[in-house]
Amino acid sequence: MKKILALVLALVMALSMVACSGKSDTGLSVGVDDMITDAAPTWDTSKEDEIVISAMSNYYESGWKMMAEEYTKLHPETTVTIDVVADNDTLNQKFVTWFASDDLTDASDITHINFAGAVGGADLLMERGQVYDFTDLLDQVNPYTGTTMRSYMYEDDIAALATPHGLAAAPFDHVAVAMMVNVDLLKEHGLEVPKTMEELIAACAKLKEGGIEYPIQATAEGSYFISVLGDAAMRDMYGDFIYKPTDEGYDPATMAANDGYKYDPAVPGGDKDLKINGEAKATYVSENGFATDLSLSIWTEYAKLHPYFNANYLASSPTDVLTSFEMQNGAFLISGSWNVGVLNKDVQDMGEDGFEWVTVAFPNYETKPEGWATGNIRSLYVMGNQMGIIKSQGDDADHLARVLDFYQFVYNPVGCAMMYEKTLADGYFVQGNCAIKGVVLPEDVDAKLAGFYQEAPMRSDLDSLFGKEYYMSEDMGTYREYFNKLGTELDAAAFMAAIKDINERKLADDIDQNNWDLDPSTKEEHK
Amino acid sequence: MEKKKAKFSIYPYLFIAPTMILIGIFSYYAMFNGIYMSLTDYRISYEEITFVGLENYRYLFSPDGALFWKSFSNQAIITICAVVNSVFWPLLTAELLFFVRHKKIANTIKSMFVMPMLVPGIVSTLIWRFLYNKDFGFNTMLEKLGLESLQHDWMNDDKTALFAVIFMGFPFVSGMYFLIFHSAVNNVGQELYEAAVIDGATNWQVAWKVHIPNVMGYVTVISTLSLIGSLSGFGAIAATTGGGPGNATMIPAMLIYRVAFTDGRFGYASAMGTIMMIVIMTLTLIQRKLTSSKEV
Repeated sequence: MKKILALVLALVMALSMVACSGKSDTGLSVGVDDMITDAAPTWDTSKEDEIVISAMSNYYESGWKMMAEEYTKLHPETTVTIDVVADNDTLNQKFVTWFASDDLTDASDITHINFAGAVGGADLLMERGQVYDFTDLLDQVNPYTGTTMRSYMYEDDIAALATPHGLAAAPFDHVAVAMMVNVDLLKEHGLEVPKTMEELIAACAKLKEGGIEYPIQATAEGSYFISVLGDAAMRDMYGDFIYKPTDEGYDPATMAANDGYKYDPAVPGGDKDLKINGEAKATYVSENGFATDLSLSIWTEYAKLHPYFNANYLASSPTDVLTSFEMQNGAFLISGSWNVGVLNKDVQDMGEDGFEWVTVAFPNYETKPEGWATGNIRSLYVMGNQMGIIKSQGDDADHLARVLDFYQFVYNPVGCAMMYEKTLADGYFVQGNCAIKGVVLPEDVDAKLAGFYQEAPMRSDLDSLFGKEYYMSEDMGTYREYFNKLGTELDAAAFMAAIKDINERKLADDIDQNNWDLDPSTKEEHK
Repeated sequence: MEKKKAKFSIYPYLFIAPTMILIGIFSYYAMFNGIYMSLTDYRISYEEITFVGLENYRYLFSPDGALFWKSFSNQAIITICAVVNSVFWPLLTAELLFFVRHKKIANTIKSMFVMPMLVPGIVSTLIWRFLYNKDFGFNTMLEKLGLESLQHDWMNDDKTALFAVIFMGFPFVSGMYFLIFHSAVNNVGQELYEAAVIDGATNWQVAWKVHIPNVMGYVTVISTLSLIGSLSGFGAIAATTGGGPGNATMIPAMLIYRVAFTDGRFGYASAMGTIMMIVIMTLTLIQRKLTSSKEV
């Protein structure tokens, strides 16, 4: 009996090993076997080293962990550690701590470089040589594909990420903000999915009358709604604030789109690669103030919708808001594309209690508000996961070679497909559709993401001109205090008057911090 | 009689040295470095740090720094409630438990009070945040009780948010403070209790005339710990309201954190931190002076 049992156990083990081997032991449809893995390492393989990736919790979390394991199998001398970051605040704090001195040895090697705002921004860090510039790497052959990285990336995406001092991250995915709409709840109230902004306002009013306290559910992303209005109102003004050839900091290599730019309403995305000069904006508001007629008009339009948003939405917890939408407490959810996968799964799991929902872009105005450039609304559609490389070990070429090698291991059609597949399979978030050619999402998720796609994405560069969230961190609470009263206790004019000091203080700080003399043509030394 | 001199021994100093060195590095160095930074324009995006003297303090005392002082009013309310809740409810419970003379029942109740200590603080805070959610928690309970009119968006209304934060942790009994008072009340001595009962004292008189005077030292310690903890901590606010809505629940520590880690203005944040340290030290000294004769 014991012999038979031993044989059965041995057979089960053998079968398990066979099942787990083959193309990949990750259980995915693609694997490391689909890459070229015999390129000679360019680092000293006799030395052990560690690469640290700080990646946001939930987003691609399991994908990163899997890629780290797979990489270490290929290159046992390099350990890849994934430091899972709890939330945005934590990563901000990490950046501040890492860059508190010139010694970056404690910094992670790869992380979300778009969080470098608190330490001056990725562009400044590239200028200082603390962050890697990917410009040259894109044209080098990726040892895992035998092709250049540029060959499987979109030029538009590369251009979108480029800043005056280079490219702080390679394109990975897109992230978008739009509306998720509960079609069943609208039907219950005799409504259809609104096709115009006027219809949206009317639908919210009717839902509120029908007992839906907050027809629009939103987290902080809800404030993009204000940005899309600003983008429509000020669309013909971008040309006034771009880097011009006479400006200090103008770089013909990364700012070609600026040359000869003129606003043309017939080309909705003609401004998407423009590079805006912060000093030019500061000069404008210093001369004209924040409360211009156009600014007031933007806030007036937004104030019509603000009372329909959930209270204090800028501070709402994403989980609470998503749950509230799933409980059908609101018909519209203003959210990022990263919630599509989760909502899709949750509604499917609800079975008969589920509801029909669609994703739609913010609607256009039927009648353009007076003084606006256009009534055609664009929405946020930008590069999402911007993973950059911090030169944590300074000029240690051996360490940097390993970091770049791991980056190339992930940033290719096979590596990215593995990341996406694993992330979705484990129920984690993907931010949106992939920016690497050849990586596709499951059909149902892709269909829901369609509403987020923007051929001509909005820009939010001019938000500060009308004072949107333009404050020092200590003024955030006071700004929000007034913001929460917009459309009820405060009209647009009263709101702008209330935030005037807050905006001006931030402007003074920006000017002081950047040492601007409000003449874009002159060079300033960083403080 | 000749007084015997204590023999000098190096060993106690050697054993205590590692702790002193670590405290020196991680507490005192950090503290003095913070005071130094408060005299500079240290900002994370600046390449160089410049000594600016008392400029950060001037800013703090100007109208631009008004929020810092305003946030102290929220802090005062939170701290007073925290100190009262840390002393009153645990002491009351310990007293009531003392009069439960059935040992097994008393032990069971004690265990039940102490069990919630096993839940990590942040988990407990997040549970409270869930309870205050406009769609579930207390609002669901109110709905079940037919009290829909009392339903409220507790943490998103500036009229209720501060109260909601203070109420977190109700009934304020479970935890270390209860255990300390429970031990203190029981340490007063069975003989004293029996003597009082023989003399005809009621339970109220036993509690008021026998126990309370004998546990005043513990009250001092717990109120000091609670005062310092409340003034320097901001975890509950950070994990629930973030200081909002508006500035309804803003406290100095939250503001300091935001200025330091969002704007990267370490010089100014250090100035606020230095003032905060002076306030805590002053209040602690005053409190200890007032209650110095009643220490444990």
